[in-house]
Amino acid sequence: MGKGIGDLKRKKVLILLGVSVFLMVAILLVSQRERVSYRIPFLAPEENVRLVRLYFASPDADHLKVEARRILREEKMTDEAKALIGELIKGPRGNLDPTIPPGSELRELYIVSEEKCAYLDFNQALQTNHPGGSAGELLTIYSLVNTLVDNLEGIDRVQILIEGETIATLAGHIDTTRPLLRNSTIVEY
Amino acid sequence: MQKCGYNNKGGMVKRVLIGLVAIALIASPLLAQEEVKVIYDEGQAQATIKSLTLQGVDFIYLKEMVKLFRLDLEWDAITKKVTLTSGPDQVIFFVGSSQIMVNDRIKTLTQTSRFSNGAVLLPIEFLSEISDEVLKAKIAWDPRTRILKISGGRLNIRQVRYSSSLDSTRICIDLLKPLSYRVRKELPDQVTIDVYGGECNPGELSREVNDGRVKSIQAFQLPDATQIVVRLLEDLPYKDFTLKNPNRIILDINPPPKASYKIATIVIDPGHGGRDPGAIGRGGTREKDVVLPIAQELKRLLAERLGVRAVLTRSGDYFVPLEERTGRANNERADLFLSIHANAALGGSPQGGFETYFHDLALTEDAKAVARLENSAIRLEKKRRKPMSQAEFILWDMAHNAFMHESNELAILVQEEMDKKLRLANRGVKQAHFYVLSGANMPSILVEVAFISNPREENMLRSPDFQKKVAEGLYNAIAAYKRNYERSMGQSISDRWEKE
Ligand SMILES: [Zn+2]
Repeated sequence: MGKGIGDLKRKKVLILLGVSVFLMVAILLVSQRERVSYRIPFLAPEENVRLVRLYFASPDADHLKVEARRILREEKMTDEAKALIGELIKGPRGNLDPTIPPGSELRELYIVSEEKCAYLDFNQALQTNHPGGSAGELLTIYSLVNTLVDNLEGIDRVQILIEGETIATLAGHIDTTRPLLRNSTIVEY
Repeated sequence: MQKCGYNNKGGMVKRVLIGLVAIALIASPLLAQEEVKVIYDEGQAQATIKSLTLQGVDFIYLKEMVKLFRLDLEWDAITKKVTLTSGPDQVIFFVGSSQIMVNDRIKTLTQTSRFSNGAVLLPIEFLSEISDEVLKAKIAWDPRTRILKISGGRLNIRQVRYSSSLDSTRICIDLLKPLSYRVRKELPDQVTIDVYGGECNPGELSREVNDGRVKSIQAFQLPDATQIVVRLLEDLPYKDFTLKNPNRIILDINPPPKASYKIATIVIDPGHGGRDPGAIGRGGTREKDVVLPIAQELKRLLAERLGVRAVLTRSGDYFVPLEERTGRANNERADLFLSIHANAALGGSPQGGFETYFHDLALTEDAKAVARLENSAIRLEKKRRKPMSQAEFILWDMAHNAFMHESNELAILVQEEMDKKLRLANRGVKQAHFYVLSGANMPSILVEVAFISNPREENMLRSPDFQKKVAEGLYNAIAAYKRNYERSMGQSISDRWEKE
């Protein structure tokens, strides 16, 4: 009996190890392609983790760049989206710059699946603590939009709200009255 | 393939040869530059064209013949092939060959077409050979009186064309000969043109237009006149006049004022103001305070050096809603809208430089669908607020694309000129959907002149010297744009208004 369980355990460990090695290689290859160079923390169990693409600002504030990160997998798309925004709020770990102003909190997030649209309701800080500038605004807005659209198949567009209301602009430049589509011109790989 | 171009290779040799021949034959009737009088059937209308007599044979110029009969000319400089088209009929020949092909049938002339001084000459018999099938008229040539009679032109109204521009529709009635006419507005949305003595094929002339102003053009053949009825979408003004060579009646629906083809008024928008400070640098410099002097200096330069009326959306430190800024530009009927800002972003990295944006609606929802549903800011008619029709939408789309193109041109010039003036990073031309630009009825751009969030550039932004340099860069860009724009518009307008 004891021997059998030991065998099973060993088998499990071996399989887990094999899967881990495979995933690590895959992740390394993917991250290599994205040219993101930082160490990926090892987390287990693998099936509960997914690799996501987070968009942060390039150091010259000219583009968005991808930082790959592993986050816990969520069952519901809404929770997955919330987790992604949470990562953006935490900010970059590598050499990129943050895009979300300090103090920003996601109050609510809901998805209208027929529209494939995610509504992000932030607290006032997203607006009041925003540094302004067209470059800064574009980076904030499209780090949110591109991150959600890229990682979640059910989302094509994103509407930003402050305290439950649509706003004309975050800081006086970019029109945020309507849902926004992914912007590929601002991305640099 | 070259349209209407005449190969001038060896033109010198030819000219010298002709010169020699001319000297040799001086005072002889063998070669002479003359004129031909063209008389249409009743003998009322007439025109004069140039002709050339070479060794007793009368030639007319291909170019003049094409004009006289309103033919479409295609010219292949390599093979010397000439194709003349009139509706479904066609004649093809090679210069120098006595054979011509009329609607797929070969005919042989006793004289050949030839070059003279780079122009193509046709023997007058050429006209008779194509008169029935292509010209649809009887031709009679009297070499003694040098009169060319054109009669029995079965159809003297050849075609009705139209062209739509942003703000007007031009309808052009091509006549084989000058005809008198009368224009009247029987109904508010209907313009009727009676062309006396006109004969046409009504089916060929009638057509749907649906360009947002004109619904349709219909032709009716009456016993003694052709009636052309232009149905409009609504009550619009019109202007009519005639042009010669070739003869045509022009009807402009909603004729545009000529003044709109000059850059006369520019609205300059210093960003933010009042309770909206814009971006704030680490040293406390506020965006609203540094963009205002740049705008004021630019206004001064435009007025003094370019004689352009510049209007500021704010001339002090007070709040102006974004909608009012472009609203102001629309009310002033401004030709350009330029918004001046200072840039910022999160993070303390080495961000810096200047960049210029122009409006891109496509980044939001499907731009066209939105425009159609919401009847966008670019309104075709101020009174009408109902959703756009397909035709109106096409016009809106045309206007939008034209503005985008012009805005892009201006943005490129701004980056070029600022690059010459400033020692900062050139971040290039970008597109984004700006709230402040979305309502503009004219080409519009937004310039971020430097990064106020970068301490080095923050200091620059505060210096009057730097502000002046920025204003000069912007001025140079606008001056260059104005030159390019007015030159190109001047050309296309004179093309449209004089040559058409
Ligand atoms: Zn600004």
